[in-house]
Amino acid sequence: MKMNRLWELLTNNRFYKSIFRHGYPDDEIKRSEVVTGNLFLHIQPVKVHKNTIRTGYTLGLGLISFYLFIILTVTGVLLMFYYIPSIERAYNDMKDLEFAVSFGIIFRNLHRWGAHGMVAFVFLHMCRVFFTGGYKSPREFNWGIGVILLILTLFLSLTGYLLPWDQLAFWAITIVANLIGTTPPEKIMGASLRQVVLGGTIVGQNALIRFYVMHVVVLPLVAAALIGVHFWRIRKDGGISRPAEE
Amino acid sequence: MSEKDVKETKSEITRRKFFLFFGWFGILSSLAGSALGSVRFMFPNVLYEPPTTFKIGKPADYPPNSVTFVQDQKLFVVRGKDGIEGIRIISSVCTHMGCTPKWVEAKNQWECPCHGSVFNLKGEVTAGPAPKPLPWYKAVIASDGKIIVNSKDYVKSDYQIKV
Repeated sequence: MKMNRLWELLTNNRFYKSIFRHGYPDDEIKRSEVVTGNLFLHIQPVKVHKNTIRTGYTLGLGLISFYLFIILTVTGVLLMFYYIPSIERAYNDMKDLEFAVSFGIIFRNLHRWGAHGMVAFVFLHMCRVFFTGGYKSPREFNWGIGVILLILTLFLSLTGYLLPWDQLAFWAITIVANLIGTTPPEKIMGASLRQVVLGGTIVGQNALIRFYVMHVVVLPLVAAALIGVHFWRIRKDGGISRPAEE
Repeated sequence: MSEKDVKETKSEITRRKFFLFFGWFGILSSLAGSALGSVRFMFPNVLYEPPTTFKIGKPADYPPNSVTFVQDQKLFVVRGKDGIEGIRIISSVCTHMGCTPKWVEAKNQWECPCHGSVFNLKGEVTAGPAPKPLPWYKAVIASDGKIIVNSKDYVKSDYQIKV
C-alpha cells in the first residue's frame, strides 16, 4: 500500500510526465507506450516471441559485443585524458597510466581485454548467425551491415594497436603498411595507399596522429551509426531469427 | 491496479527475493565502484609542471636600486628599494585575474594593464580590483652562490637576502 502511494507521488506530477510521455504502465496501451515512446527502448519490438528470448539460441553474443563496445567507449574516453598522441609522449603516457595514475592500469587493461573480447565476440556472433541461417531473407541487408561492423571492429583493433608506441606497435604497423603497399598495381595503388595510411613514408608522428584520429573519432562514429542501423533492422526484419513454432 | 496486486506482501525472504537482492547489489556496487574509481582517476598523482623551487642567477646579476622582471619564472627581483638594501623576490602574477603588472619606475609602483590594479613597493593594493597584495617569495643563496626561490613559501615584505 505504502509503495503504491509513494509511486503515485513520484509519477503523478508534471515533472515526471514531462520526461515520460505516458502514465504508469498499468494497461496494454501504456505498456506499449513505454517502448514506443522511449528513445532507448524504441528499437525493441513492443511484443517479442517466446523463442526470441531463448538464451540458448542466440547465446546473447550480439548484445555482449555491444556491451563491450560501450565499455571500450567509456574506458577509451578516460584513457584520452592522459594519453597524448605524440611520439615523444605516447609511450611514457601509456607507462604512466600503468604505474602512476590511480586505477589507470585497470582502465587500460579493461580497454585492452575489451578490445580482444570484442573481436572474439563479434566473430562468434557472426558464427551463430551463420549456423542458425539468420543471414537469409529478409535479413540479408543486416548481414551485410554486420560484415561491415566486423571489418570496423578489426580496423579499430588495428589502429589502437599502434597507440602504445612500443616495439610491438611499431613493427606491427610497419608490417601492415608494407602489406597495404603491395596492393596491385603496386607502383601506383600500393604506393599511394601506403602514403595515405602513414601520412608519409615511415611509421612516424604523422602515422601516429592518423591512427589516433581514426581510432578515437572516425571509426567509433561510423561503428555507432551502423550499430544503430543494425539494431533497427533487427526489428524491421521481424525480430531475431528464431526456431519455428514447436 | 487490481485488488490482488495491492494486497500486502509478507516480509519473509523468499529464494527469489534473495537472488534479486544480491543481483542488484552486485550490479549497483560494481557501478558505484567504477564511478568512484573514475573520479579518483581524474586526479593525477604525477605532474609535469615547472618546479615551484628554482634558481634565478647570482645576486650580482641584479644591480642596486632596481626592479628586474624575470619573465620565465613570473617574478620581480627587487634590490635596494623601499629602504631595504637586500634582494627581495615578489610575484608578477596579479592577484585579480593573473595578468602581469608592469613596474613603473617614475611612480615607484606596479600597474596592471588588464584591469588597472596598482601595487605599491610593499606589494599592497593601492587601486583597482585586485583583492590581495602581491606575495613575496622566500629566497636564499644556494651553495653555488645562486639565488634559490620557493614560490610556494610566502614571506613578509621586509624579508631580504643580505648582499
